[in-house]
Amino acid sequence: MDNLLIAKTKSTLGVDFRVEGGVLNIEGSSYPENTRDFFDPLIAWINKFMLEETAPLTLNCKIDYLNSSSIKFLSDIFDKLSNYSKFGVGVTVNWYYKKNDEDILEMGEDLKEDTNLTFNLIEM
Amino acid sequence: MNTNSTSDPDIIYYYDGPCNNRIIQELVDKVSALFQDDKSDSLGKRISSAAIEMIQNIGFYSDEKTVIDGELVGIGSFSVINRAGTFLIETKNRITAEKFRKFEQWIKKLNSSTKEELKQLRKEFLKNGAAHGSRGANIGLLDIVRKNGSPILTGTENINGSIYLIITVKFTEE
Repeated sequence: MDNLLIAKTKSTLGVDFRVEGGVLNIEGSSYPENTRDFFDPLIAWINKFMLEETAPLTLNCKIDYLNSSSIKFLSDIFDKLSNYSKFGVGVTVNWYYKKNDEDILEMGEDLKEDTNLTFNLIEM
Repeated sequence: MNTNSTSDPDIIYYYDGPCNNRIIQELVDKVSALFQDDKSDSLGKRISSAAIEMIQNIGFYSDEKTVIDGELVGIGSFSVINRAGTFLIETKNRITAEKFRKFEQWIKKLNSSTKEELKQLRKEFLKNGAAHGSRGANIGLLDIVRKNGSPILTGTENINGSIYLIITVKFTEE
């Protein structure tokens, strides 16, 4: 299984998913013209990881902005990770937010509320 | 395309044309430049976030479309207005009568919901997926009402027998 690396653009997230160590990093803003086209490879990668690996997984999110359809896809990713954690595998989400960025903090709080994953809200 | 070409002196940004991601990026840069100081940074972010959703809605749902790079892109207009420190975003795009009726019902529901009801509605959409025909998650306008705490205003204009939907959102410093 290969790592998944996608360069950040103004309207799409930077993605750095590493098989070794199970560390997944996403950062930046997401308001692509076609959200599904962007998120489908991320979801496919996570599905494959869950099938082939048994290692703990850490998702680091450093988000500047997500449009509504991107929030939906990220929420779907959390649901998948939540299923993975049901097999006794540790899954941790680190949600980073800038001081005074209430939108991103609130978005993290909402997502945290809806998942049983270990979910850390971390001020940068 | 038509930018900054209106006679209303309170309009600080105006665009009329196809609404694709290039326009959104241009707008985000413009709004960021307008709200650079720390005091209004939160206001600038709220306006930028709402603007992205509202322009994408024009791009997806406007009844008047053109083809750009092989993709159908909705056409409409978008304004940022500064009325003595109260900021307004106003969008206008062509819509069918049937779509307008559905849209008006949706906005009535959003405007009459409490913050807690909006939160629950949002959870339902995230869990169950977007409504049929929706390109987004159905939570774009919901989040605007929820974060902004003021209702979304809607109206129509008849031009040459076509219906144009006008959406206005008001923003003030918190």
